[in-house]
Amino acid sequence: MHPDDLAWPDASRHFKPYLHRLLAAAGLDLAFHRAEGDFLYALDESGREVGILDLLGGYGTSLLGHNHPELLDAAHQLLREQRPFSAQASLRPRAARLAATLSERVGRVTGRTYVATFASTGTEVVEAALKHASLELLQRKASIVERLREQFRRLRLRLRAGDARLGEEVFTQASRKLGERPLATLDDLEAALLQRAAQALSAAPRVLAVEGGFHGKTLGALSLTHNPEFRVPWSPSDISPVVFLPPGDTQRPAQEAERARVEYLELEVTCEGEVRVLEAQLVNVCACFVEAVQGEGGIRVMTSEFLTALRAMADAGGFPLVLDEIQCGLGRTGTFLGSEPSGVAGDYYLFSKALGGGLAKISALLVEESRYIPEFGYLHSSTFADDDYASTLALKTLDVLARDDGALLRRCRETGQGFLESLRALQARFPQQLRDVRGVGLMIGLELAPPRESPSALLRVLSEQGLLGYVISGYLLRQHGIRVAPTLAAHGTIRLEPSAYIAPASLERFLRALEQVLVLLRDGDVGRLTGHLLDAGAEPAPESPRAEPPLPTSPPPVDPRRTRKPTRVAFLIHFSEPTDLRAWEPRLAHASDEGCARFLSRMKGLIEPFVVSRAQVQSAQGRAVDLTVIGIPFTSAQAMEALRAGEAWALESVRRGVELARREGCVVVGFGGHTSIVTDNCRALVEDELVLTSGNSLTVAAALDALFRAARQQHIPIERARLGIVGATGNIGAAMGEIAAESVGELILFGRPGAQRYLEPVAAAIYASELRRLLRGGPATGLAATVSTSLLGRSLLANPHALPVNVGEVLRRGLLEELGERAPIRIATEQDTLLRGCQLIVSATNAARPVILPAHVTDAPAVLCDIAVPQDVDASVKQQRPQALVLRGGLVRTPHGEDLRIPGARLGPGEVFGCLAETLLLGFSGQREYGSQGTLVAENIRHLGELARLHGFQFDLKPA
Amino acid sequence: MHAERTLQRLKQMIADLCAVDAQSIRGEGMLRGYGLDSIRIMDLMATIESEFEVQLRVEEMGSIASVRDLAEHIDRVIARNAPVEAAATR
Repeated sequence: MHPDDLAWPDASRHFKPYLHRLLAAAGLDLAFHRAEGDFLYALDESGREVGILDLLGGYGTSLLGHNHPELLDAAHQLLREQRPFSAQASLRPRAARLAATLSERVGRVTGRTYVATFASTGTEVVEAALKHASLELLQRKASIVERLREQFRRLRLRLRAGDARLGEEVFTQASRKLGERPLATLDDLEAALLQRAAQALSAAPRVLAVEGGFHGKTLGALSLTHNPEFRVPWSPSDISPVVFLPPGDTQRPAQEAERARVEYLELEVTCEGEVRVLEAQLVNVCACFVEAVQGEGGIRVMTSEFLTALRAMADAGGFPLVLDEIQCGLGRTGTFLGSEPSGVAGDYYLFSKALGGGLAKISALLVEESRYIPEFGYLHSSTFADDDYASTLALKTLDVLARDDGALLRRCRETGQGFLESLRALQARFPQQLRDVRGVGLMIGLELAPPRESPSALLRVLSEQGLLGYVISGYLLRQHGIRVAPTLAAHGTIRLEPSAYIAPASLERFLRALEQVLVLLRDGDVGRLTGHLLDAGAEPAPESPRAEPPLPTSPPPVDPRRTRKPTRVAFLIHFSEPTDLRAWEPRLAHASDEGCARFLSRMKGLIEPFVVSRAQVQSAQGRAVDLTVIGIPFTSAQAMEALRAGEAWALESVRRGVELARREGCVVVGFGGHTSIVTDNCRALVEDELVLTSGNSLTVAAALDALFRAARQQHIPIERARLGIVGATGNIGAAMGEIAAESVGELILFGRPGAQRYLEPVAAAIYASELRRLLRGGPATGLAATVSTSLLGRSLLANPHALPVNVGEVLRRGLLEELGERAPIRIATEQDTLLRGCQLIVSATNAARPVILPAHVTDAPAVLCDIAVPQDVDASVKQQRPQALVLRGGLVRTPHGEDLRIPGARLGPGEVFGCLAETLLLGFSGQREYGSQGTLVAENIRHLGELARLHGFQFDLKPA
Repeated sequence: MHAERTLQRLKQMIADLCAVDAQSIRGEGMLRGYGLDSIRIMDLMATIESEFEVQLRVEEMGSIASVRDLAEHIDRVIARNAPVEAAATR
């Protein structure tokens, strides 16, 4: 960046923040401080000036290259002469001369003359053309009404003179045609015909444009721009209904004009004095806009046949054909007008971009003289239009282009032809990577083939999301010093619009660079293609890792033997750490930790959720689900940062992941990892159709099952065992306590200092649940055994109809009084010796570091089930407490050991997280009401645990 | 002014509890972004209760998402208690 601009490092805050992020994501975030010919110059990190070959050419503006010496001289001279910048409402001879010159240059092709309207930008003259065409149509409509009035005036004069005869049949005929009650008088007839005309003519006129067309981004121009990405956000504001014609379809224009026809009635008085009522019609179209070569639509050349059909339609309908020559005109395609080779003339012409020679902002609308409405130049104006500076530079540009009998135009044609041939030769060698080479002269588009079969997951995702063209542009910029960009409406097409003076060696250089891109695409070498986004300046590893077959991109075929259609479920995952990028995309195996972090930081909020993998899972009951694993492109740290900053993008990203699941036909969506936290356990999303689940219920069920199974193996008597729950104030801890209470002898609820008040209600709820179990006739197992034998318990059970409302709290206080240290539930807010007395420990805190150290664990046999992420049990416990078995809780094995390959999950074969298992289970069972959202319900946990066993999920996992 | 002071005090409590810089905490930030889930929110509630001398209800915490939401809630609880205190001193 130039030293003068360094004082504003936070440029993206006040200026185009989203675009800054896009540029950074693709590695296009470079500032240029100087330009000359086909080169732009930037400073590198050491402050050295680096020349970048510019093949983007300001979207076609730099037809004469940057800072053409003659134009630069002319500009200097204008400034030295102290030409007025503002001299509105005065004579503007330079502008008038430019208008005459443009009329003459276009007239040389069409044989007609034109009146010009100037503005500063292309989109403004599109607006001007729309306004002029609207005015033309309104005037035509007004003249129809005026003519009708005149017909009646003339008839009255002739009737008075006895020169015409008004028979009864005229009224009969008119009322039949109008479908109205019989008309009696001439005044009635006139009123009825005027009303019919007013009604027909008041219909909103249509505007015709072409699919793929791009005419600008102001509101009127935008309504003609086909690409919905730019148009739809404002679509309710469309000025007129726009009909888009498919390019190349020569039948449609006439059909659309026919559809826009409105009918009214006119009066005719013959020479003989006979009066007749006649049908008349108007094609209610304001104008038709077309680019002879579409620019932003992906460089598409309209055929002569199509342009001819448009001309015929406009002639038949009496409305103007507007040729938008803003990008393709003035010689870039090898002729002064891009439309010239078709032989089709327009009624209006639009110019801009190259017109100012790359030094002035100017645009022009030319309206064919006979159509021009004189008042228009008064009604429509623009502060900066018609100035001497821009007009003079435009004249100079036209002069340079016309020089030597149009030598520069010939040069565009010939250079372009040779370049196109070389590009097509490359395409023939790489047809799987380069789908099409299009264009004419120096207006060329390279359409990339979507790498659907690529072994690289990242390449497929980038392409599906329209980012590949930008990433390739970034690669060409950073690795080859060449500047290109995708077209605005077709992101997979790279546009080349160099200057007319482009040196053959520069094009040669581009061809070599492009060949390298195509090789990298062919090899799926995403490491090199995105190297500039990972490690600035670092060379990627010389070899690509082994190719993996691409994951299926469509749902797996259904086994025809099974009659029941598999339910579709989705599971949302994300990158836990930036380095998980390497697990997902093995071709980035060489990327450093910082490189992964840099890449994901650049892509933050830009990549949409994507399908990571698909698999079919069978239950022991013969049911099947099709699982779609959806990647939410954020890391845990990015998600937490977004929450802390109050930024909506992370939540929005999850929301879009759910929408993707919906499009995939999924009925259940499970939230893995931080997607639960971002959505507050699904509560931040409003959903009435899909079942959303945090999957926490089965996580709890699986952890307890594994704990008790291991306890039995260790010969720990569960019914007498003391279970410590660390983190018992939490949702998961409290639910675990309630369920474990059925089985264990004693419960100790651990919380932080000060948590006593919050642990008491947890204890009370567990007591209440145990008492209810006894009242329902359940066995006196677990804590219920002590409750049922206590004095307080017995008295409560004896009077089941007179239980106090707060029976849990009554039990908690009463049993503590009655039994003291032998009370079945105790509360501890210090990690004291109580934990050492537990044979069973479940830990579910969210502490950043391990909270359970060897000193907290008994020397006797014990089982610790750790369901916290990151883990609560310190690694040293295993070494120093050999009798203690440490389990990683919350994991489940799939019914048939199906390996679901979640990148970065680091699980054993067939193992899945409880939350994913719950998602599958809801799909198997169809019992969607049991999905976990928000606070856990013990009853649901029990039920899902049973259901999971029924469907063949296994909880007997190996120790951690 | 009063509300702003509550927010600043709350930010400091979150900063101490979660070992982050109080300056970096934004009012619109989500509590769960600081790891204040169902477990740790209890720790924060305990701190708030002793610092502000108020009693918070667990069931009222469900609808509180952002740091500012919580500060406003604290102010509401203080205001709710104020007339009682005033009456008691009379």
